[in-house]
Amino acid sequence: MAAPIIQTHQLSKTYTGAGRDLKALDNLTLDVQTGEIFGYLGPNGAGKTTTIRLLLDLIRPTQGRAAVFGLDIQKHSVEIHRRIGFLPGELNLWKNRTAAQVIYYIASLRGDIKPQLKESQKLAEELKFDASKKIRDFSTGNKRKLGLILAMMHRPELLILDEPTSGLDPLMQQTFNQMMRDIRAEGRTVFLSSHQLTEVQAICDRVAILRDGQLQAVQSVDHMMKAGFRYVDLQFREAVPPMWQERLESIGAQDVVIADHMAHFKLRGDFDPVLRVVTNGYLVNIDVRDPSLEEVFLTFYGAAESTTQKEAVR
Amino acid sequence: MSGAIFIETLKRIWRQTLYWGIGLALLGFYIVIVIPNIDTLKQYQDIIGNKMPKAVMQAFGISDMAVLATPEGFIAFGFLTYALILLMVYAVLAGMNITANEEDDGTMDILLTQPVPRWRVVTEKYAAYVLMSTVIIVLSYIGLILGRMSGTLEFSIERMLLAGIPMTLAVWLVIAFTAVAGTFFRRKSTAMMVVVSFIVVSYFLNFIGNAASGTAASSVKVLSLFQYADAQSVIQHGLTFTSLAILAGATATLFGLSVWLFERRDVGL
Repeated sequence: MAAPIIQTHQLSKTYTGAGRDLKALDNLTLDVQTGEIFGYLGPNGAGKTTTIRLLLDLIRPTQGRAAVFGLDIQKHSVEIHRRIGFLPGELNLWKNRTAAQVIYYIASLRGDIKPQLKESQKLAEELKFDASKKIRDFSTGNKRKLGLILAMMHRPELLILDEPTSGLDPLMQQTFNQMMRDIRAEGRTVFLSSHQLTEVQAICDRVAILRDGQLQAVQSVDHMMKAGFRYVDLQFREAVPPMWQERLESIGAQDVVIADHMAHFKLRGDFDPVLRVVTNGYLVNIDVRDPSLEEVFLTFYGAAESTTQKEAVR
Repeated sequence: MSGAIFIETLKRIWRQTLYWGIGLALLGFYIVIVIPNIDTLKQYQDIIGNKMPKAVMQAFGISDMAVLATPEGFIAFGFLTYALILLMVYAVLAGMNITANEEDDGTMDILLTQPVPRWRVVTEKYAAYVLMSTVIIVLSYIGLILGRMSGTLEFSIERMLLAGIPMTLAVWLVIAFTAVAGTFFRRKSTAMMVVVSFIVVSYFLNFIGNAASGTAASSVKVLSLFQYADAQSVIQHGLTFTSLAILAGATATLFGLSVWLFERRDVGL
C-alpha cells in the first residue's frame, strides 16, 4: 500500500490564554490514504479546524508531528502548500477586489498563471459563478463557490476543505459532490471536515469522528453504516401491551417506545429473540431500517448528549 | 511567483498613496508661496522669538530661532516637521497592514496557505510600503519645488533634499516598528496603542531634551526618534553619519525582528 498522504502522530495543540489552557487537540494519530475522500466529523469545538490549521502550518503543534506527502508540515510547508488546495471554513477575501482579481492574485502566487486561469474559468462555468463582481457584493454561497475555485484551479493532489458546502444550495451541493467524485476518480485526495452528514455519507470513503479534541473512531462509511444496530418498527393489529417494553429491553432492545399499536426500538444482534417476545401479538407490519450516518455519529456521543449534539450537528 | 505580493500591495494602495502625496504636496506648496521674501521671515522670527517662551517654541520643534530666518529653516519648521508627524500616521497605518490587518480580516489564512514562505509575505509588503512612503515624500517635495517656481522665495533644493533623507528613514523605521508590534501582539488595538505610545513618548523625549539643553536631562533626547530625523538640524549642520546609521540600523533590526516573530508564531487565532 502507498504511504499515507496525511499522517499525524500524537498531534496535540493546547491554546494558552486568559489564565487557562485549552486542549483543542489531544494525541491525534491518523492516516489518510491517497485517492480517498476522507470525512472529518465532529461538532463545533471538537478540534476539526485546529487539525486543519496544524496541517497547513498556520499554527504550531504543542507536541506530536505530522506529515503531508511524507513531508514534515513545518519544515516543508511551502512545498506542501504548492501541492494542496485549501478552503477555510470562514472564507475571508479582500473585499474591494473583484473575484477575477483575487483569482489572478492567487494564481500569480502559485506561478504558472495561464493554466490556472483556464481551469478557473472551467470551474466557474460548472459552479455558475460570475467573477466580475467585487468580493463585498457576494452572498455567502457565491463566496463559497469562489473559495472552491481558488482551492481547485491548480488541480492540487490534495484538497483540504473545511465545511465546503455550507451556504451552497442543494443543486450546487450535487455539483460539488460530483466534482469530488471526479477528483477521486483522477486519483487525487480530498480531506473534508463537515457537519453535513448526508454529504459525508454521499461522497466519503472513510470518516474520522472527533470529540473534545480526541479521535473517537476511524472507519469506512460502509462499515460505519453497518454499525451493528438497526431501527425496528413493529405494527400490531391490537394495542401493544405495556409489559412488552420490559421484555424487549430484557433481550437487549434499546430506546424502546411503545405507542398504541406500534413498538419502536433499536436492535443489536439477531431478530429471533424479538419474535419470541411478540409471539402472542398479531403482526401487521415489520419495518427494519439501517441507521443514517447521523444516527451512527450520535451514538459516539452517548445517549445523554444526543439532544445537544443533534443541535450542533444541525 | 516572486514579487506577486509586492505588486498586489501596490495595486491596493496606490490610490491612497496618491491622496497622501497630493495632500502633503499642497501643504508644501502653500508653505512656500505664503512667504513672500526673506524680510518677512526676519519679521516672523522677531515676533516669535520675542513673544513665545523658549519651551513652547521647542514643543513646536523650533530648536534654534536663527534657523527660522532662513528659507530652508523656515520650510523645515513650517513643513518638514509637520510632514514628518503626518507621515508617522501613514507609517503606522502602513505597518498595521503588513500583518496585523490581514490577520484580523482573516485574509492572511488564504495568503499563508499558498506556496509562499512567511518571510516573503512580510518582506514584500514592507518593501511595497517603503516604496509608497517614499513616493509620498517625493510628491511632497514636488509641491515644494512647484512653490519655489511660482513664488519669489529662493531656497536650496539640495539642502531640503538632504533634510528629507533622515525623515524618510524615520518613516521606514516607524513602519518596521509597527510591523513588529503587529506581529508580536495578538490584538490589533494593543499593537496600535504601543506604536502610538512609542511615537508620543519619542516626541516628548526630544522636547524635554531640547528644553533642558545644557543640563544632564538633555541626554534623554538620544532615545528619541525625532532627534535623529530633525530636519532643522540637517539644514543647520548638514547630515550626520551617526544619525543615519542609527536610523538605518534600527530600521533593519526592527524589520528583521518582525520577520523572525512572524515566522515563529501561530497565525489567525
